[in-house]
Amino acid sequence: MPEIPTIVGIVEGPFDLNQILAQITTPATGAACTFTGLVRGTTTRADPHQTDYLEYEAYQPMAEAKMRQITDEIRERWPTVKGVAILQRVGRLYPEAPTVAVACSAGHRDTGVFEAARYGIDRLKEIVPVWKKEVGPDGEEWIEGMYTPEPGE
Amino acid sequence: MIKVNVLFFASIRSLLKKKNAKVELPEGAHVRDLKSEIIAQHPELERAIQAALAAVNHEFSNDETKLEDGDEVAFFSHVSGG
Repeated sequence: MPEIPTIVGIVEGPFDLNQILAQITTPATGAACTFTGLVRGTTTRADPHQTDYLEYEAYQPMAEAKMRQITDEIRERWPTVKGVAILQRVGRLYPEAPTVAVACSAGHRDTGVFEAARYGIDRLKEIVPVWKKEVGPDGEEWIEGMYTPEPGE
Repeated sequence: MIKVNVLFFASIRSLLKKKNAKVELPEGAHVRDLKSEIIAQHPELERAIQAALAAVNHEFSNDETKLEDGDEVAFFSHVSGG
């Protein structure tokens, strides 16, 4: 059996989505789902406002360990998902810049590859120690998540 | 006594204006005791530290987690990556 591709990382520069796709592709891959999060400059939902830039910070060794844990959780839930990549950019990022990528590959499109990518980004926002400070016309603010992980989670 | 390496991130790091500290605690100390010690040294951090998540050696923990000499303990607000 060839090794199942797992790519996780906190990265300082831009990532290449085509390269990520190539890295999670194996001879048995027939479907891949890639989620990309970007810096939203104009927010219209809930609390409409403008964003000048986001400043991301990570606790890198723990973040990468938690990303690896998420790849394990994905494969446990969707055993047909083979390649998984989770990458988070840090530093100052301006509107329209991609900030995060979660990509999953499988043999076919109908065995959970979409759900797996969705799970990956949702879970990242729960347990991966990364934070962002939002800077806009009205000042700056650290964004706080909502989820409290259990000990050992 | 035991000595632990404490790391601060995001809003707590901003408030404190430093990234890390070494803290000495009695044998058998728990995360709760470390929080008390940090608050004693930095009373302005009380609210932030009480509300913070704590990780010991890269694993989520809570006030009852026991600390060992050389542990790395991080305090941070609820994560907001993505």
